[in-house]
Amino acid sequence: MTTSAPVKTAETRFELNGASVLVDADPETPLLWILREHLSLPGTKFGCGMSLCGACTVHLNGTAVRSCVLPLGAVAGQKITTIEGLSQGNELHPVQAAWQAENVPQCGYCQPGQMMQAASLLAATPLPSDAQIDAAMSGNICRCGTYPRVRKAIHRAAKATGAAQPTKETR
Amino acid sequence: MTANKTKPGSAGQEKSDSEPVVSRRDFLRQASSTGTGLVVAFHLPQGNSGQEAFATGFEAGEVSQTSGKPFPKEQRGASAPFEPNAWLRVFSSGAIVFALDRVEMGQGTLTSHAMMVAEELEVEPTSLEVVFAGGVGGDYRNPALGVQLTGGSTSIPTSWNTLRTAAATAREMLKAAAAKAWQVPVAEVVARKGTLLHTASKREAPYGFFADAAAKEAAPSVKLKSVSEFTLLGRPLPRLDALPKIKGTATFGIDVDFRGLLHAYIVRSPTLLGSPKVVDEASVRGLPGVQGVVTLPHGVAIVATHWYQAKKAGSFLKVEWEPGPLANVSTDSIFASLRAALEGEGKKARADGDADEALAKAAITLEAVYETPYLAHATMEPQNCTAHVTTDSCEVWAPTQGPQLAREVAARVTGLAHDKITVHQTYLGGGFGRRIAQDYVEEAVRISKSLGLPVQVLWSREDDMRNDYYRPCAVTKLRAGLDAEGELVAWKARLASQSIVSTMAPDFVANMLPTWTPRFLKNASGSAASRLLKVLVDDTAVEGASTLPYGIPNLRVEFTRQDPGVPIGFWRSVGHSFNVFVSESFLDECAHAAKKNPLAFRQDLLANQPRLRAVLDLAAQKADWDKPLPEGVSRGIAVAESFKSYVAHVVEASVVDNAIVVRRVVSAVDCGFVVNPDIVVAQVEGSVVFALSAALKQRITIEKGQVVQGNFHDYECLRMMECPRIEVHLVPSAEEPTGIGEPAVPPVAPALAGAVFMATGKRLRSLPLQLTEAGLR
Repeated sequence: MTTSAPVKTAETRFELNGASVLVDADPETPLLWILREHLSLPGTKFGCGMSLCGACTVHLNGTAVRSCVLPLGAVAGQKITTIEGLSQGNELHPVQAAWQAENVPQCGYCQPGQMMQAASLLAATPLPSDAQIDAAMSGNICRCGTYPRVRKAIHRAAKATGAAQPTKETR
Repeated sequence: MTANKTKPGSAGQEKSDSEPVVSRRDFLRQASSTGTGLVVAFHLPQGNSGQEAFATGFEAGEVSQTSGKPFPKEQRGASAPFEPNAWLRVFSSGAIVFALDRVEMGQGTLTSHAMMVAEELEVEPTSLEVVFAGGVGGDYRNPALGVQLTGGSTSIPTSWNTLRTAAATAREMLKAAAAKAWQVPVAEVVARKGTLLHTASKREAPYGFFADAAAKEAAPSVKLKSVSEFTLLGRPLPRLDALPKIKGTATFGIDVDFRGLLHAYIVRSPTLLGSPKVVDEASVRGLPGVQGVVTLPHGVAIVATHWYQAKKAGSFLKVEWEPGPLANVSTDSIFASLRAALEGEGKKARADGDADEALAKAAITLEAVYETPYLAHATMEPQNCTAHVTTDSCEVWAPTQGPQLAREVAARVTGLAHDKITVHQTYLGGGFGRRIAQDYVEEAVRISKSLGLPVQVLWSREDDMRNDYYRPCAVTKLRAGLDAEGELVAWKARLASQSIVSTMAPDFVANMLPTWTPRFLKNASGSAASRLLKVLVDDTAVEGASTLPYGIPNLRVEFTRQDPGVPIGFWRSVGHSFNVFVSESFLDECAHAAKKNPLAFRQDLLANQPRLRAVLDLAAQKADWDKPLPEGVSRGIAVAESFKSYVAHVVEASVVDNAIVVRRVVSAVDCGFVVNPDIVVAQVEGSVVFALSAALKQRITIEKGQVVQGNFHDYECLRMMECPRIEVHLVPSAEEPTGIGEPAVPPVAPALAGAVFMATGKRLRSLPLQLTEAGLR
């Protein structure tokens, strides 16, 4: 076959970690690669490219999405938050603080995605049950097996964010 | 290789006869000072091969991995790049830098090793700036493995005395310098939290103040602290690498980036070991971002401004493949060949008593065949490497377990002398043995060399899954004999599998052997050489089978090497990963035949194995083995020693509609003195999850030379909703510390299989454990 794929780039503007950014790239490019290579934010990781592992999780208007399958063109005018923008200034986000307190990371590669997923869960469900944690977090694979600590850290973050009710920890 | 000789007159690390040796036990010496502060260098007892005598580990460590603080070149010692290796530097500015020579892949070396240093150096662990030592070998070699390599659960035991001695020596030299300056007896100087104190005269100064003076001191003999004197070791200190990993600032291999860096995606042969026959480079030239095309032995690299451009262009590449030697090989044919290989007698791996005679006389005999599959490592970070090759230099940034091997590969590919090659270590997004191979390094160096430009190679997940060095598959036929009282009197196991080291990555064996092995062997002392030879001869295929710990008077284990040619490698716990499943499961069968419970049966057979017996008993006790379980829940137990550590698991599981649900895992661990209990617990938790993924889900299959599985939908990993409650209990011990990165993996699968048997009466003799027809034999 003859391949003469046209050079088609376009300017896309969106809000990234609170600041407006303009990217000139193929709008089909998954956001993951735009973040990592065009915008020099390598905290968001590549794991599978098929929305199977969650290493690339970012927030789209506050909700966790997989940036490895989200085309740049789809985020025009939207708000994106990455791990680099999760905390405000020097203060850790409650999820990050809980991750540190529970000593969660081992290799650490999947953890930005885990934390972005957890932050999204807690924003929608401030006091999640174990079943809700299972439902929200089972799309994020950790080969080091940090799941027990991820669970503990989410409960800890939930408590830290000021919820009055005690959280039932069944496991 | 003559190019490897240390330059005459350089500040080489080779120990020459003319150099004064002032340290004890002939392996510590004071190094020449570079004027930047105190340097402590080490020499292993077997002497140096000389080839690695080029750069210090500091040269490659540009940034503190703990604080993120950059180190200017002059601080790193790049102005004198041939100076001796060292672990520690104390700067006049006050910074104390520790070069970590074992890679950090999640197992916690950065923290545990910094703790060992801090304990004897008398500093806060958080005050250490930790840099990753470059791949220079020399003093950074792992004495258990012969090269600078992280694997085999060796990092703690092989660094335990070395690092503490390094730190204690540095501390004593600082104290001596202070004593001289203050004109007081050195015994009156106290080192505490990075400060030197003389109480009587009320003088104190930070270590950095005496850095230059300490460098002129002789290295004294040091006495290491006893366990009772430890203030850091043995405590659950938080991980020092947690914060950068939590903030997303830790630099993994994939995160290496600098101006001008190009990105490569490699279109690979669809068959294992296939190669490009006809490449139509024009089919991708001119596509957006494409800067070059480089044909490699097993694929075609497309180099572009951005990786996604290269990946996208790859779908347009026209290439005709030579399918290679495995084109007609499939999982079915491989297992058929392994089963056939068991017909004949195998190579004797162990023989106690007379197993055949005892079997003939036994009151009850059992026979079974177990089969275990190929497995991929599936590290979360896909394989990648960054290289910049010029006509007279080569820089490599790699998430590798063997930075020295990376350097060897770079030397071979570029033809450059070792002193022209710098290997920068990064954090690893998982290792599990995959990153002992250096295939990704070879690719990056080849591509960069071809273009003369800096290039980062990144594999897709599919390429990672389909081009692994797989955990070998195996078939084991076992026979056992019980006497009239139900005592296990005979055991015979015959195993057919590949030999990992014999067929390990071409860059590991074929290319390493002519380069470093002869030199190392030539220079090595007898014991070190025999350790290396043991690895090369490869006991990894039978470990866990030939090392059966039970008191069985007549025991024979045989191994038949059957090599289908599929690339295989080291997978977390190596031979133990399948042999312990087989041995412990068959032992369960024996217990059942003897009408004894699996715990009591093992206890009786472990009379002469106190440490194994202790973890077995502890796991059983903590799991309330004697108490009934809730309706629908069953339990199994298994125990094993691997890598000199002892682990037992009790697994509680249910079977619901033929699906196995793991409820709870209770683990007991004896890995000697525990440096950091929280990290050990985390390693055991993680090992349980890793092993359950394999036990329940994972299998690599091959159809006509092609690996069938490609991503996490068909090579599944345990997920949060499937993760059981995991309880870890550590046996208090004052024994020498041993590793814990791997030993908790092997006993998981057999303990789970035992629980499934109790639940269903079905003995699953192949992995992954499946109660469907395919899983039952």
